[in-house]
Amino acid sequence: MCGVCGCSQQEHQHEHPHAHDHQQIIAVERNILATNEKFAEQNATLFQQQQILALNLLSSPGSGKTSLLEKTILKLKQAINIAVIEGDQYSDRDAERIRRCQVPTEQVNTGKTCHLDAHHIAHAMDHLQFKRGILMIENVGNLVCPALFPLGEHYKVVLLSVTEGEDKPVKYQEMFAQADVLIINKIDLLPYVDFDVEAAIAYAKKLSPQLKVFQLSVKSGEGIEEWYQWLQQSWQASINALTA
Amino acid sequence: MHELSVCRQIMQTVGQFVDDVRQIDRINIAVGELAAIDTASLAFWFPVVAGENEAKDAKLVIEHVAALADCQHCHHRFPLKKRLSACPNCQQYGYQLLSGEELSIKTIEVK
Repeated sequence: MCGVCGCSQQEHQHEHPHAHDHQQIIAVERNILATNEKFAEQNATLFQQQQILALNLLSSPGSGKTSLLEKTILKLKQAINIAVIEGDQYSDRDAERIRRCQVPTEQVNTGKTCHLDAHHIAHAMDHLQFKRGILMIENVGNLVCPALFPLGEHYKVVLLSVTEGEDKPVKYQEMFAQADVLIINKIDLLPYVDFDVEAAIAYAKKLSPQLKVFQLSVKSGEGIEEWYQWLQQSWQASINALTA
Repeated sequence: MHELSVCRQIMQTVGQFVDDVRQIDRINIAVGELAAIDTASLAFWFPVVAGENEAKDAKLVIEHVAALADCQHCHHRFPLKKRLSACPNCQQYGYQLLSGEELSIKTIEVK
């Protein structure tokens, strides 16, 4: 039983830590997820040194991340170096699709793990040996866990397709609070689904006020130019910052 | 979802601070209200992980840290239970989180 408050529970609140008849209290003051944060910082330093703009692409499974990457790579690779890290539990199907676009690609299979972590990225970068360009990291399809594991990226790009429901930001608050960019995808399907675009954007902006939003269809090409322009401008801004 | 691996991370970290984990009686951790960690699940898994590491006497003591926000519009400070919360003073969204995301080991008590 706790001598301070008399409780017998493991979870209880006190103003000050106290010893229960013990010899020693050891101060730790260590963040439990420090290991991943340390690797994320190291990745961020590497990206800085190698003049890489790193984007973390996040969404549910099937929102269109890989398709968006294929089209984006084919459009921009003449002007900007692009490399891709693909994260999936199993298989290299996504990496194979990207390899057909002929850019450096690394597949990370996370196995039982449902998210990429910074250590995965550090290893992938060892193999990629990539410099001066945009690194696209396609995370495992999952709106929950990847939000807890920073990778050292510059931007978190969250995709939400119109078949998923406009209330997803309300349900997945960690993810949408961290989004820098929101891409509403599959807008060619809007006539066939009940998706309130304005509501989805409003919810997302409440969680991430500085959010940049794109509405597009990878399949039809509608709205995708604005995304390409943002990428080009962001790349240019990062190069200007690095050479300033 | 990752409470088991968080418990393993806790054990690994405390192992760096003590010579013999069997001497550990309590591990005091702080978990913020918005840390996206299920503390009931942590409390459930911890004895399993402690047992795996021959530290079966070690108890996990969880301090819950309340979430406090500073409104980016009017700078009113307010508590919140979920991220999607408007400022009660000006009803606008957008804040700086002052506390509530903690997930840290504070101290270890050894026998």
